[in-house]
Amino acid sequence: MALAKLIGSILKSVSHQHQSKIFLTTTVRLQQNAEFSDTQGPSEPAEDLETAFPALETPRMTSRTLRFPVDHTYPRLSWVESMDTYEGTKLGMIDLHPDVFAIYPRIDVLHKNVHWQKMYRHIDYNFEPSRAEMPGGGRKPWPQKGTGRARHGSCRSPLWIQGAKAHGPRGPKSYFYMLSRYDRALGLRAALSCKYAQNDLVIVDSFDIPTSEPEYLQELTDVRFWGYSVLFVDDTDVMPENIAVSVSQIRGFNILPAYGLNVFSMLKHETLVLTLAALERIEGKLLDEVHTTHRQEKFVNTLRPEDFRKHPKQDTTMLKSFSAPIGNN
Amino acid sequence: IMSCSSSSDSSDSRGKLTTYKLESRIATRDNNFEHYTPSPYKTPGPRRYGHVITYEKGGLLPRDGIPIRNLPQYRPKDTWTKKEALFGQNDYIDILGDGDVHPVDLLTGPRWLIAFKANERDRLIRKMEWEGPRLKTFYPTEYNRIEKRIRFLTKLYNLKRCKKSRD
Repeated sequence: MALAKLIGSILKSVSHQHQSKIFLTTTVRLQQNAEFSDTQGPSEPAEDLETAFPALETPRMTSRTLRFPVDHTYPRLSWVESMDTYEGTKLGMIDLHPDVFAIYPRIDVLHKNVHWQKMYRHIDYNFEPSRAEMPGGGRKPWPQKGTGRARHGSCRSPLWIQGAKAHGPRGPKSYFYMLSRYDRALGLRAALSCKYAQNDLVIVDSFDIPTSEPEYLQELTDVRFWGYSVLFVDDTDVMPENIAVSVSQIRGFNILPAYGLNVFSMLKHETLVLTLAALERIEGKLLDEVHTTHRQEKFVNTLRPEDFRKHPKQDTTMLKSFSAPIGNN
Repeated sequence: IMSCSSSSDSSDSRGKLTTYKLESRIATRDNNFEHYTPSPYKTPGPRRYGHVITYEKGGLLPRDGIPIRNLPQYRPKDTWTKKEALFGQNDYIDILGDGDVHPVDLLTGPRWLIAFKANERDRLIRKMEWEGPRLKTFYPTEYNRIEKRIRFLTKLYNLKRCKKSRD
């Protein structure tokens, strides 16, 4: 396996005020027999800017239009990388909306969301029968007076061994509750902001990798110092085959569509890798939530037993032919 | 089994008053190690003639191939199985998706309990709405139990319970 060494990376800082085109590359010195490695850099430092930073064929992203205006703060920046080689190429630098990626790190909101995710689906099936539901226990064990023993009425009383439990868990019980859309969207924004602030957010152009071998992805994440656990998020649930196969074989790596993103997974995985399409979708949806004017509706459960009936209800008590009007033939 | 017999023969020991302790069972495990040599001296005793010591005295605890029963060794839960790794994956689908799916639609469990939290009486009443006819036909004991429990809880909640009772 080839080990890439970054000896010197000369980058020009991109200021959002200057709109000049800048070619962003890193000079990478590689050992020989490098598999899936970047193109060979110049052997000697060049004097001219053009030879030092040759223009590549792929177009560069130098900015990104944000949908809602940012007057209160400045847009945050992030690299866009590629995944076709171990080190990858920096394809550009894009703007991220601060209302999604740079809000205050709300730990209380994160806790609220994680607690909701754990509890709203939880059903406790523990059940302890009461003294009326236990077998036996109807007869008075011994007479009220005269035996010298304590007075008792039933052998299944909670006082007795192998008796019932007075206030035990009672049957399947659910802990369901709903957080409002605003609270949940705020949780997503807080989690994304924490990921960005802690350098755990990576933007990638797409998930097209050359091979489905899991070793390729392992090496790639080692080279780029992505965490032990990585969450890949794409736009739709149809992924390139190679990444799907390799991620399924690596422990700690998971891949999700954009609609599957959630606070719990973001906190569980160390690194979050988004494609550009996923980023557009997620940021768009969360900004819509921030700027929407709809009122927060309380969740009301309207399920009825009829909703679960698979076959139409059969009239078994009275035959319809008896009760049908005589005139219709 | 080790036996430390006395210096005299077994035929002479009958007439003698002094007898020496016979180690019919190994009294201490210390004697069990590789280089043990029996004591050449007369061992004191016996006390309580005929008393067989059945417990282990001193030394390391015996194993005899039987392990000591302990609590099971702690094995941390594997948090990266498929189920655990993708926990909570579609909980925000109504915000991040197209808006036609609500996370409640994806919940699993008893049908009368999905997205429903209430006290025991209301849970039982709802269960009867869903399962009542089926219980009455096939599980009459359970049906009767639930009916009686609802009646009991109605009286309990309305006549006996104070305001802030749990459930």
